[in-house]
Amino acid sequence: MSNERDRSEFSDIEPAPDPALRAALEDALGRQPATVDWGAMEQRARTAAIFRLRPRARATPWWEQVTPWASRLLPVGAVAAAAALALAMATPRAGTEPGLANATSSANVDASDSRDAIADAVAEPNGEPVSSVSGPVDDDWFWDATASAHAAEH
Amino acid sequence: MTADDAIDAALVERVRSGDVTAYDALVRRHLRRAHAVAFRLLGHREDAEDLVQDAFVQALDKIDSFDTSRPFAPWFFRILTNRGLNARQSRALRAVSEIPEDSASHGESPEASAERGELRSRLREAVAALPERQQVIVQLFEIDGWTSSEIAAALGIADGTVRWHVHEARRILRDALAPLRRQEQSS
Repeated sequence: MSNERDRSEFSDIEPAPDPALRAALEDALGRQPATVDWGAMEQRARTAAIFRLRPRARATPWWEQVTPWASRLLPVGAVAAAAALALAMATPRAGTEPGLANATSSANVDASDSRDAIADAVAEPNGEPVSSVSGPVDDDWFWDATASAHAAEH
Repeated sequence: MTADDAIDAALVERVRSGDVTAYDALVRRHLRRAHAVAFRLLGHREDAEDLVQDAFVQALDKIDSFDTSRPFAPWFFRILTNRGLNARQSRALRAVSEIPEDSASHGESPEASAERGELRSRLREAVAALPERQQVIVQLFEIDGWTSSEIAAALGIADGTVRWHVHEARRILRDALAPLRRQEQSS
């Protein structure tokens, strides 16, 4: 408590030099050594630091930055791929889907058959509709069905 | 943050990215003061050099934990003084070899030489009885001529606390020397 008070009392007053005490203390405890080799000390500090600093200085390649995440990203990626595959297999094909059949029938009602649109799109340059269309991909049921339907109509 | 603190903070950031030149600069900026404090802690030049090296290595090992929004010097000197105080306690001090022994000035009478020896030994005892930090503070202030602000910045304490330590140490040391001075005056 008294220490706190004393400290605050001395907070703004720089103690005046006391030459007698200074001389006595210097005589008893010695001066700072005058012969310190600062260059050698700096070199010593540098030598001790180089091995510690070297790993920090190396630039980190991108694969080292990714590596810590790989153990988490790979399983997530595998699970996502498996889920996507399972979803694709579980989803019914468009032709067998009741919703699409309804849509086709409604399109027929409107006399704007989408099959016509596709066949028109692949019509010959002179405007004549094609009699048959061979798609770029084999076993393309939608393409084949559209082309054959178009040919039958014309 | 002073301009010096900002320079230190920039150097620390560069040291963190492995810049040896920045580390050299940081060492150069604090080496002399560090050695002065280390010498006052250990009383021996070579021990002080070892302590300074040890403190710089420790500081480098902990450099990632240093908060660059704060001044570097108190953080570093805290490492230095803590390790110095530990070293004082754990090893046999060789301070005696550095302290001037009976370096009586030539032509001094045997009585005067004896008085001086007595004064010296009393002072050493009195200083050794002070709290450890107070010992360092009073030596830096009285012998090495540091200001209270310089000591405060180095040790990470308030200026007023330094002045209080100086005042307290002076009072104790003057009390210890008083009987000898009275003898001196009466003779």
